[in-house]
Amino acid sequence: MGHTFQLGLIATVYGLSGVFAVLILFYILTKLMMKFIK
Amino acid sequence: MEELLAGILNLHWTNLVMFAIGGILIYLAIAKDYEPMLLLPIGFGAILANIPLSSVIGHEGVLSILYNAGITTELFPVLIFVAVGAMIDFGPLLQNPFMLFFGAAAQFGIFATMLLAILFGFDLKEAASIGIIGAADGPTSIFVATKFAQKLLAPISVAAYSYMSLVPIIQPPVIRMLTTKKERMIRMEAQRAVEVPKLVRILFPIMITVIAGIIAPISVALVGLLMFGNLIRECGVLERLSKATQNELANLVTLLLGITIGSTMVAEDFLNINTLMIMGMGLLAFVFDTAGGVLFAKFLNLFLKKKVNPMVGAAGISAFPMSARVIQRMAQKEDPTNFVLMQAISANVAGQLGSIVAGGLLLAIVPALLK
Repeated sequence: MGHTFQLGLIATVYGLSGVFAVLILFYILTKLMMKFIK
Repeated sequence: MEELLAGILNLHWTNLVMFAIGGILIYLAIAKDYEPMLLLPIGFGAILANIPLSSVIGHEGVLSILYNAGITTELFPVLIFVAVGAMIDFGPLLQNPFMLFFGAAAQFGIFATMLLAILFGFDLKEAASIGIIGAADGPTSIFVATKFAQKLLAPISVAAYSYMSLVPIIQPPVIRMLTTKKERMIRMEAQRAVEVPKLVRILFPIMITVIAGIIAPISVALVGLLMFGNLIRECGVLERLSKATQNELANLVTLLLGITIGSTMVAEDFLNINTLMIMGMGLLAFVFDTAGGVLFAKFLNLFLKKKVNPMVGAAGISAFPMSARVIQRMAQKEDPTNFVLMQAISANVAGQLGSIVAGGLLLAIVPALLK
């Protein structure tokens, strides 16, 4: 279980930071689209 | 004579328990209006599958055929994504993209629950499937469970849909516990009614698909078909298809999906400690989601000049529009003149996006870690 928990922790770090990273990217692109497309 | 009585002779107490569970799901659907579109077919499917020697399951059983054709192949959940995509209006989110951050923070429950499931002895794939209940998004839960842990599909689906309908009961106490009255009374600047250009509405689903697809190609079936449905909605030239997707496709696939999942609830697979643990952890997943959203909003408030009402963070889950409504009701309870509904709706739409992104990332990360 210890090894699985380690993998779970890695998945959590990658997963949560991944979700934030992707949504920050969406945020930037959405902002740009809303600014430049009329 | 024995053949005539085969049904009675093969009746076991566990079948009766499953009839009762099916009955409870049907009761919740009809009497309490808890996700009736799913819980009623699931409940009846459970009854059908637990009639001794039932002809709906097994080698030539119609529900087993549907299961192999629609669930094992992931066809049903993927078609549901097209329908859900056609129902989502990303307008409020495009008007206020800042709320995307809450759509990310409120996915915390997925990962916290995954770790909890590992501590309870589930393997990584099973734990990820249980954690994804915290996406508060039925189709995503079904899709991930189909890929990672088909054996747990039934309890995961029941938990996901049950707790989604219980959001008005689950979220308020968690929010109250983590916020002060003063924080709950924070007024947010009224959201400007910005007109979202049609081109942005069209480009948005395409952009999301391409980016999410490049980052996690395995998520294309999930994100891509949801966004395909959204593009049908927003393009403006496929009105009939959009309506058919939102109604006929959604209704038909939901019907087949529900009864097929119900048919997997056979007593010997369902009546075990794992089911109870999954139901318990599913509830915790929603609690962790809510806490993640609220605490993230409080953290942002340390740096923001214009404070965010931390309750809005809790709306970053995918259960739309229940969560946004709950937040507005709570805000008005503290101050009848406080309106946070628009911000909460934006966060709620962000949650719909955040949940599929989280599901897609888990689909990519977990197999990579197990290699």
